[in-house]
Amino acid sequence: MIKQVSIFLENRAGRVAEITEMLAGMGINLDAISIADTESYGILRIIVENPEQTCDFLRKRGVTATLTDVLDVNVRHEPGGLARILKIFADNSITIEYIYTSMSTKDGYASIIIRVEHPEEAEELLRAAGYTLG
Amino acid sequence: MKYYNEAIETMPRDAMRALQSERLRNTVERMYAYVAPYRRLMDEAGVKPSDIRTIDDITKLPFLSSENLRENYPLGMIAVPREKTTRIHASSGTTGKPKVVAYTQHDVDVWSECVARCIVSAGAGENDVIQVAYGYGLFTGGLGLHYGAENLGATVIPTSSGNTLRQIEMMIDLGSTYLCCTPSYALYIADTMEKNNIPVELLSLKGGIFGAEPWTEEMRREIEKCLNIKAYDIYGIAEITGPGVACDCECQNGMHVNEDNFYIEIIDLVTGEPLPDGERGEVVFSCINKEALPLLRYRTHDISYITREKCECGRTLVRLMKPSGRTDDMIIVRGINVFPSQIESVLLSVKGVSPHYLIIVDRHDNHDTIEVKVEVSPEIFSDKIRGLQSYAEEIQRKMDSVLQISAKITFVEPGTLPRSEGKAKRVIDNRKLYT
Repeated sequence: MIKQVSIFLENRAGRVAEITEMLAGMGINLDAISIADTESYGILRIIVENPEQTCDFLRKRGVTATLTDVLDVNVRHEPGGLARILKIFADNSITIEYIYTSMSTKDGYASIIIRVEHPEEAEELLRAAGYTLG
Repeated sequence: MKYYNEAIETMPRDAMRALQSERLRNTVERMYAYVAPYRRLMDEAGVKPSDIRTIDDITKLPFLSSENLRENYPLGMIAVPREKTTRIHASSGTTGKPKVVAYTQHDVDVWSECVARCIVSAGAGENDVIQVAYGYGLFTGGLGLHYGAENLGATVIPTSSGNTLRQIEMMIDLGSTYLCCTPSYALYIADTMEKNNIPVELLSLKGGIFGAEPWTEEMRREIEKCLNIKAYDIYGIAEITGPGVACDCECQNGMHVNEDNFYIEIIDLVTGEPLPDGERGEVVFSCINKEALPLLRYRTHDISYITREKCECGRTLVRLMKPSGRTDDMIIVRGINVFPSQIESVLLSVKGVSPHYLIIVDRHDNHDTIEVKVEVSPEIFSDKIRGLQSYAEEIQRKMDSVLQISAKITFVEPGTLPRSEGKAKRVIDNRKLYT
């Protein structure tokens, strides 16, 4: 299980650029990124090397940010790779809030970020099924 | 029919002053005798009922404001036993509690006569078909116009507000000759007709009596053009009686005040001293012919001026000109009074919501909109869209039930809303309501 940094985004032009520039200025590399948006605001979700530090850094600059537990699962980059995991969740009634993928794949595996309601339980199930997690 | 009550409406000034003096004396005596909070105020001001001989002595009396109603909520200011009242209305207060107003049968009768005078002064008579599209209920608009039109002997169609297409259908099918509603709703009706390709020629309308919210001369001309009618302004606030305190005549040059019942003064915004005719200040009303709630020197927060110059219509009643602003931060949206403090208390009742907010009022296609920008606080922010959305929905639900307004809630980043020393600017009103 890893920590995701979740960031509130006001719906105005250039806001995502401002935040990514702040992160770039601190030399923070983004391993994964996703944006959820509504009509009037958005939520930027990022995976970085030092989430606690990044979150503190952003808050000090007036950004509303919070840490969220998410699963970072290594999934085989092939047809049905994700489906097999989701089947495990479905069979165990684990609800998924959202899913996104990380920037890179290596050795035929892709890293998938999954937010579920009960991450501990989900992690245990995945490990038992032979998956490796970040 | 030129006047509803010619004797009063064209009464020589001296006779009017005599009538006002007598009614003021009676009212002060009753207020002093029966309303303990008012007796205390008079005692504090060192004035006795016997000090009030003529209407000019009214300046010796203390002012009243919505604060006094709030302190004595709900009915602590009434001058009759509750059993004697026959009607209750209410309008928004600055905090959670509304301003509750009460009437005896005498008060309802006087009120409906005043409204009847207004309807006649707006050119209508007993043969007219009057469609009342103000909201019916605690709001004084609907029932106020209704009783006035009935008193006159006109045919009343109580459509209340909303359901615009049915409103138009009734107007056409029943041949309504007068429409009573908020001026913005009149324009909304006109827009709706245009969008649905309903020609204005199908209407039998001759005039409209519009009020409950500020409007400009430009809006008047627009309504007159779109609906092919004459548009008359009617003034009133619930604390004084409701609509019918004053109304335009055919000259459309100031609203004649029913001053045999509601005595008007204009006071200096800073010193509270009475101002001469023609000078702009705060409008203050005294109810000198009311039993249940005869508020005296009640500060309305409306800014305007009066004139006693002779009016071509023949009425001698003093004229109140269109208000040009407010002394407080009250906003009127679709005829409903809203105070920023009410919105604030709704926001603060939702756990974790920050007290920093900005209210943006706008008008699109003659429909008023309220947007409330709220700063996101770390307590309510979560990684899930659903999280913030449910806060927005909770705020909206509460606004709807407490204020009867639907507002759009927009979350903004912390620290981005204006802050200032003392009173922050909480409202941006993009409507052009005052000239």
